[in-house]
Amino acid sequence: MAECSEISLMLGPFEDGELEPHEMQEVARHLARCPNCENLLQEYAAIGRQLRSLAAEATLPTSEEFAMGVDARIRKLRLPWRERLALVFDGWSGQFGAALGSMVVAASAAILTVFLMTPLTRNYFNSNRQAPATSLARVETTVGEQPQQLASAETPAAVSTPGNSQAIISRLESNIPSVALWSAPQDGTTVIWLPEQQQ
Amino acid sequence: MLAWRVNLTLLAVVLLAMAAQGVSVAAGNGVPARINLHVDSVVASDTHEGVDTRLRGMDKRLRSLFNYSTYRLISHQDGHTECGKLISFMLPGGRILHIQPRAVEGGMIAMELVLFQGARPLMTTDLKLKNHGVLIVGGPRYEQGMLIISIGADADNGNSLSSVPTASVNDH
Repeated sequence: MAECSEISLMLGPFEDGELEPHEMQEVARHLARCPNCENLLQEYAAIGRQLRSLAAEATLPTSEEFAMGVDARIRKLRLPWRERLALVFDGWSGQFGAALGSMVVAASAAILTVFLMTPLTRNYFNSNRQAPATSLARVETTVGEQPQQLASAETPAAVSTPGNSQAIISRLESNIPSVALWSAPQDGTTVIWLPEQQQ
Repeated sequence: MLAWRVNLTLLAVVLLAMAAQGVSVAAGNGVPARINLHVDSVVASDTHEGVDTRLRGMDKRLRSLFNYSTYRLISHQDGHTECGKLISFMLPGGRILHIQPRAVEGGMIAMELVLFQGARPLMTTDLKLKNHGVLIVGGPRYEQGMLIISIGADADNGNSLSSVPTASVNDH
């Protein structure tokens, strides 16, 4: 035989019809003999009715309003820049956004092509590289003249040979302290002379 | 998202086109596939023996540049390489010459030259040599005279040749 303390725990589910069939029968038999538990059940029933009436009176938001509220809360959160950018582009509806993005990409590629890849640009850079050579030290000697000393020990020498030379030298490094450079006036043959040091 | 995918695809296409353009520009400039190098090692001394008959093409140049009475050809080497590829020549007296052509522009061959005495570099130079031009490096002692190295270079426009640097030697 169930005690009141056990039955009282099942009164709430009994009222809501959530008990198993044999439990429902047991509670019902107990209630028929126990006025205390019957009173308790009446109280539960009264509380349930009051709650349902309160819920009916309250004004709950519609699903659309709820969604908009959630959306507004999300917008207030600080998003990473990538997601913000993606939202901006997604906001541009359909083909307009795609077309604009494509134009930006194509323009960037065109600018890169013009400034980095075209032969004109290449020639421009080449001419800039060659320009300093004109200001470098020049050596003009004739055959039979003593060759001029150009490079000192472990010091790079930047030299250029005269106009009719077969060679233009932009860098000359040697550990030998007296390196000479000259070119023949007849055919422009350039000579680099590295005299060995006496031991 | 669709717009981004379209953009990425377009970007890939454009980059491919740019790469193809770069290749075509390089091809359009006629970058030679092969640089031919000729290295003659000559010993100059004052022994009054005249000019080696094998130096018939060079004797006038040698006489105009130097005042020695004897010029003897020690070795003649021909080498083939490409821009960016180093080729080395073994020279008399344990000397080694490294040549690395850089580019061919405006009828001139840009190259780096390093002359070694064994493992020790004697000289390093960057220069542009006229196509079919000659550079002479001299001064180191050899036997009873001075070693004179004549370096000639010419650029081929052919593109079906081997890309491996090679050097052939004629020792005398």
